[in-house]
Amino acid sequence: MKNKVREVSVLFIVAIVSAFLLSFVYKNTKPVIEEYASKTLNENLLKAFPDSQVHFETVKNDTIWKVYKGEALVGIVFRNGRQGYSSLIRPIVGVDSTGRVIKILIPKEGLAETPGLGMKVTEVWFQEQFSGLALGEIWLRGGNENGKIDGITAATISSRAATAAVREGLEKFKCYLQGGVIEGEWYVDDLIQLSGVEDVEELIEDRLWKAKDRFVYLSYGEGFISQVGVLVSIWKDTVLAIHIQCPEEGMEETPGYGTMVASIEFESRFDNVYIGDIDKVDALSGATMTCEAVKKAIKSGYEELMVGSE
Amino acid sequence: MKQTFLDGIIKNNMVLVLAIGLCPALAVTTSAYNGIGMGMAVIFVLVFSNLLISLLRNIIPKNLRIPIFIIIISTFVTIVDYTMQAYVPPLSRQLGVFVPLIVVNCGILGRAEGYSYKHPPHYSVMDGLGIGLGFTIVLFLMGTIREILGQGVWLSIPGVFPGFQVFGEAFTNSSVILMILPPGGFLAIALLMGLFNHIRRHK
Repeated sequence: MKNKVREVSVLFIVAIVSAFLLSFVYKNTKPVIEEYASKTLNENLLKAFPDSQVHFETVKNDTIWKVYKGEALVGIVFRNGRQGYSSLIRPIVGVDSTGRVIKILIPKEGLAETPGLGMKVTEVWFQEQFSGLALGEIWLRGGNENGKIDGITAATISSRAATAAVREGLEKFKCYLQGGVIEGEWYVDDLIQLSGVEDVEELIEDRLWKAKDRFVYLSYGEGFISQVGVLVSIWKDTVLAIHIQCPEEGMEETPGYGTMVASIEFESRFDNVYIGDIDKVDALSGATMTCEAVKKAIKSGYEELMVGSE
Repeated sequence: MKQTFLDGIIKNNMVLVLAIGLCPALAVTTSAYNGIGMGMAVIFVLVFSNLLISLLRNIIPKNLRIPIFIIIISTFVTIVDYTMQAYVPPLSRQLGVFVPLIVVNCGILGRAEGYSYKHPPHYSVMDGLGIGLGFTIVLFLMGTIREILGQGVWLSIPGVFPGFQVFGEAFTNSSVILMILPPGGFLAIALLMGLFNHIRRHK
């Protein structure tokens, strides 16, 4: 028995010392690693959108950035992946305000296409072909009559995947070129439903609308993982109904927990509630943080938009 | 001492004689620089884990020696991994998962179990240096063979140095791609093993 205690304590001490050592190393290397990552990212963004006067605003990490020159939106940069021959090909694509590709960049990192064949997608001549193309032209020659991209000999799958990644990404993300709505327009259908009429008057762009007998506003609250959007219809001091952004509309809370708030049942708990009583609405167990976010969004939107503008 | 060091390089060469640690040897040696990088990481882990295990050899209980070895080895591997990510990120990306995989490199656990657990610290460090250097030399040679035949250049460092042009432009454009693919690794290792055994036998 005594022997066993001794043996186990040796193991224990070794593990403890190791943990201390590692946390020390981790703490000291982390800032350097992160700095390198953000430096590489910035360099890559500038390669895809070569203009020294712009600044990039992240809409979604590692996926889409808006490009501003001063106040004006001059384009987007996106990253979209498509399965190649033996790895995911993820080009970084700069797009100007007219929707034409400026430049694409396919980083070697994480790419495991066949060396000397599929890996040629990282070569400059292949990537330069994309510059200046519009959506309809981003096909391989022969794949589509408007196609303007020459594939790589003996690497059709890789070149097709790279081309498709650019084309599909552009199709998916080109909506970000229009207007200032960072969150896209997930709420359009819900807006019509909540306002009760089709022709709503926009009082503040993307934030506040006026319908016949009510106001509708859009507000966001900081949830457990992400921003949770809430659309609220209100008359005087009483919330008439709300709609919470659901996962299909881009809400990114914990699946099965935070996402539960986006249900008709939970939304109906807010029907005809006096604005001062919002905090009294029962939260859902397992989704406390997300419920808080919803309540906060309703209250802050009310204070900011309704109290301020009246 | 000197003999221990030399034995590590020649008589107990990890790749060519013991034929262990082949997985990283085959996977990362697409260029000479990668081979050196991997070899350095292994030398560091091997020397320090050998030293520590040898120092603790009278305290480490026999029944629990394997888990303790693994903890010690993986600590040093993680230190190497973080350090490489921070200070030589391009190399770290090239070697990828094979740096963390040093933990399960049987060469290192083998030296812990077979050598440093039974020998005093200074011998263990020498053994670590010798074995590690032997591993590095083989990886460097494999990388050299594969890089020169497969890409026509030698000692290229991504983003820093394009490498010495060994053959002309015409070769670079139609190089032996097979050599930088997995089969090339087997060919290179077979070549080195054959040569090594031939020389040893006829010495």
